[in-house]
Amino acid sequence: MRNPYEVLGLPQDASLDDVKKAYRELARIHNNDYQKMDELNAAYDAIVMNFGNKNRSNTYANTNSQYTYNSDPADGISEFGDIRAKLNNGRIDDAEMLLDGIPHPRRNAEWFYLKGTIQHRRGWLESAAESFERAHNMEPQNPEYSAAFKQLNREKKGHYRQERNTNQNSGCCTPCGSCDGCDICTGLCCADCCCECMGGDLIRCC
Amino acid sequence: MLGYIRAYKPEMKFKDYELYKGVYCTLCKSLGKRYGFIPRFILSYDFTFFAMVRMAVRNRCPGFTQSHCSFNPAKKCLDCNRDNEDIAYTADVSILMIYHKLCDNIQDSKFFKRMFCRLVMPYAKHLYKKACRRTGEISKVLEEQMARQQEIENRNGSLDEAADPSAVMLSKLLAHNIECEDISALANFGYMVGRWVYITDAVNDCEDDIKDGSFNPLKKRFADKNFAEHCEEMMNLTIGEAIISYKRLKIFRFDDILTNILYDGVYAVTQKVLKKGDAEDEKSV
Repeated sequence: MRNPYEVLGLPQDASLDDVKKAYRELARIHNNDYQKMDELNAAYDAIVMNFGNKNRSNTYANTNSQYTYNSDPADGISEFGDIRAKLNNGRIDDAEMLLDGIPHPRRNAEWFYLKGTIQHRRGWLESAAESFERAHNMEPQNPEYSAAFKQLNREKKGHYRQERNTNQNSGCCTPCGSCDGCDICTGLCCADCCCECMGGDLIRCC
Repeated sequence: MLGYIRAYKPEMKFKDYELYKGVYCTLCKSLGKRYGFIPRFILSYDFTFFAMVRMAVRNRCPGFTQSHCSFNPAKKCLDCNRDNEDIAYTADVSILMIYHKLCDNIQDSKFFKRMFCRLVMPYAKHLYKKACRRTGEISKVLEEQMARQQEIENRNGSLDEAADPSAVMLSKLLAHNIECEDISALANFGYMVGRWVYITDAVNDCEDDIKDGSFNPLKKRFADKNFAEHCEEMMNLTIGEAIISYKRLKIFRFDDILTNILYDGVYAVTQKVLKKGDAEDEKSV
């Protein structure tokens, strides 16, 4: 695997916040690229987990008591770092065993997300979709959960065919129906010019 | 494998159509040579797809020659190399699958069909033993999964659980004894296609199963008003995942045909299964 910092385009000593920011930025861009997203997720998880480990050893050194999990996963430190590590190594059965051992009160959005990831890897798509939906509903602002949720939702709606159709049509001439921001602007400019020819004005500033 | 995976003829090129038929013909002949005359009639296009995927991921040319159909000698067709191992393997696998299908029918179909299955059983068993000898350990995998299927049906498992044995079966069969760069992608592809076939069959049989009282994982949802929508979503999701795995594979040949099957053929079958009665004229090529 490549150096995870390199994947995210960051220096070795980047802070957790920087890592989070970079990951989100890249995840937004490569939203549709399955392979790239896998790589990004792996890199992000690797870094975040290392941070978790650092914290853990510190806690041990300072208080000499049992390590308490960070209860706020939005902080970027994964609550289930060990499970994520197992998932990254492809040890799905181990990860699921650990995950199922977690008592109900501690099953938060991340728990459902990880459960969904395991089910997804197994090919159990119906339950995976439900788990992702649950994670997303519990924490709608989390980009990781909503990306997973939206991806499966797209596929449910028959995304594979749409994707192919757009690929086929992206030849020399696109049929109407593809109207983006640029088209609207040029249209407005043209209309403005025409109006000005006739003595009127559509857009006052130009 | 029940004839759900097939090409969609209107979107096909002639050259692809010839190749597709050619593989089908070769399979039919291979079945005839290896198992005698009667098993030829059981051949479905699913197995053509199976053989083509296996040939497509190998970096070795199957080599086609011009030949004649043995049922209708006036008709010309393409013919793969006779000693093509994928064709032979697919012929063996199809015998295994048909045998298990028969066993399944004996357990849960109606009187006449059951009697018919009972009648052909000794012959099927004979063929099955022959196929087991030829395929070796993989026939054990099939038996294991069939037993698992039974167990899941007995305790009324969820859709994911119920689809798992069929999916694992196809995944193992497809990725068995093959040199392929990304074997996990191939196995995953097999899993998803097997799962799709299972779900499609479940959707197709749901109404009948409710009448007969036999097991169907979709029964619980049948009364929902968005039942059809849910089924379509599950089918889309599964085939979407199959296509993601397919894209990870390095395909050496037949890409157009396989793409046609995965996108258009599957879509046509999805529509047909969901809106029963419509599209009756869409028969397999």
